[in-house]
Amino acid sequence: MSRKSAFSAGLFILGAYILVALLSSVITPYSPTALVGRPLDGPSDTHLLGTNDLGQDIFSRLLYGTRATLIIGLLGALLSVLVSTLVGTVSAYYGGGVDEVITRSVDVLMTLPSFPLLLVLTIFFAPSIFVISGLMGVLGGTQGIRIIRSQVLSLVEANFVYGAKAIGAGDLRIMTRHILPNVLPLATVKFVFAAQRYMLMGVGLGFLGLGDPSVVDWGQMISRAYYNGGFALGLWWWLIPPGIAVTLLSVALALLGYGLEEEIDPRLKRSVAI
Amino acid sequence: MIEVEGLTRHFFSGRLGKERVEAVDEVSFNIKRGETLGLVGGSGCGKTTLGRLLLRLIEPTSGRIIFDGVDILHLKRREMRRLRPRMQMIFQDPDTSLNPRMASLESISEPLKLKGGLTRAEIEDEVSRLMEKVGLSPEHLGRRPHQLSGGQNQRVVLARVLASNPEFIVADEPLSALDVSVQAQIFGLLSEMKRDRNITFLFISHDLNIVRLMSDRVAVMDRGKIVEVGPTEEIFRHPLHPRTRELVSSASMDGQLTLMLKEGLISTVTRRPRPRMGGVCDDNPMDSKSSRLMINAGCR
Repeated sequence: MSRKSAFSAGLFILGAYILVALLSSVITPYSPTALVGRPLDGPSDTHLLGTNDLGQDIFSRLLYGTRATLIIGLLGALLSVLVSTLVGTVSAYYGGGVDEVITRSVDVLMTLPSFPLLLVLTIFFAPSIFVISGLMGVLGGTQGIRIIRSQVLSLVEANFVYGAKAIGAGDLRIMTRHILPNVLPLATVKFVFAAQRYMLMGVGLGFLGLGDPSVVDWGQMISRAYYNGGFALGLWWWLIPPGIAVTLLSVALALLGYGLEEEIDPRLKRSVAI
Repeated sequence: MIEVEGLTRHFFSGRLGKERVEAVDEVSFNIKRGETLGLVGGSGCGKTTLGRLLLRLIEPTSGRIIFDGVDILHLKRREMRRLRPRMQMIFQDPDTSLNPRMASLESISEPLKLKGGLTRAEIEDEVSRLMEKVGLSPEHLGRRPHQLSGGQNQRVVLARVLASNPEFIVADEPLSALDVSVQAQIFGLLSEMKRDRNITFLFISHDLNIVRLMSDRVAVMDRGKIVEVGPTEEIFRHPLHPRTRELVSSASMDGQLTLMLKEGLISTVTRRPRPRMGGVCDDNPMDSKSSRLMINAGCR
């Protein structure tokens, strides 16, 4: 598959998910938390994917679950890219003592395994989806600092940055006009892959029972189906749909990231066009 | 215009940064207003570092740089920034001299925007005037560096540099990454700048023939030190330092220059009757640039 069609496909699927997340209250007739039918009903006209052990509509829960997953993934990724780009750029641009302190701190943070750390911190702070995405953003951001920093290090030595300094551009202008635009493609790709990872992490936390109990999310759905007989009784409509939803979204983000990678190098684009 | 005294820059390398490399070592020289000083030397001898030091793009370890009566190493950041437009740099590789994410229009107008006090229309006018001056057409305005050739990029660089209205330019091998025919055109533009705007140049190159055409005086650099400075012809005819001799004898009347002559692209050179074969060059004391070149050609 060419990068262009990978990008389009990824964007299309992601767009569909976002649409579902926004319109879930319009599409579904039931509230995801209301008890609307007999427990453990199979798929039917009234309940497209049946009901769970409490008699909640699984289809409604599936659609509403898109929100939590997207919020965790996208918000977490946005935060982490902001942190890594900001800190990485400042660190590499100014160098010296600032750089030394930042690099050493990142080295220390990187030795900590992030998922277990996330587990502990999530329990420590109340597990709301915003706290979870915030934690993911900050923890994940520290990992990205190195990548952005090394990119900026090579840019700082580039002739055009010396040129910008020579015409009298200030540090802020050099960073925002000359360095950031050249880091942005890399940051975008990082964002997409981070979104994918955090989304899966969010689902993982939900499955482990550490998700935000006040929202509907796919991880908690799978966990509930698993522990309350969905798996043992072979109730596939309870277990499989959230799994497929996660997988497809993950694939969509992977495609998007793959398609975006050519943006890192504008020259790659030209050679593709020819 | 420029006075340099004991300029030194160390780099540290090796394990634990214990090995000290003296990229530029106790260098002193001066350049008068309107004069072009050629700087020659082998690769890695510190030419580029010296060029960057002069504009304070990197900080020297020690030494003094006086630019137009001002000791620039003692200027505060803000004062330095205000001075910067007066001294510009042209880099060797035109493809990396421009921000790959900026179209030519943006690149050329940036110095004008920084200067401030100009309306958008005035900036656009000035940009198109500069573009015309360096031989670019309006269609190049919206292009980014990867959509332009090396020669076109170097023209954009020249336009951008001229937009700052500089008095002093460090040209760091401005021709060596270009095709021969393009070299001649850019060379023409540089000598035009020198002539029309009375710009002072430090012309860094390893191509002695180009240095000879461009410079009033030549400095020879070897392992971080300037080993010989003198008027161009003096250096070429009576090289004193062994390193200078080496460089001069290895410089040949190579294809590039001959081609420029043939195409009549060098404005400062006029054709003269070729001296008799085997004529002794040194006995023919003509000192205009044009004759110099032909004597050289006749000799080989």
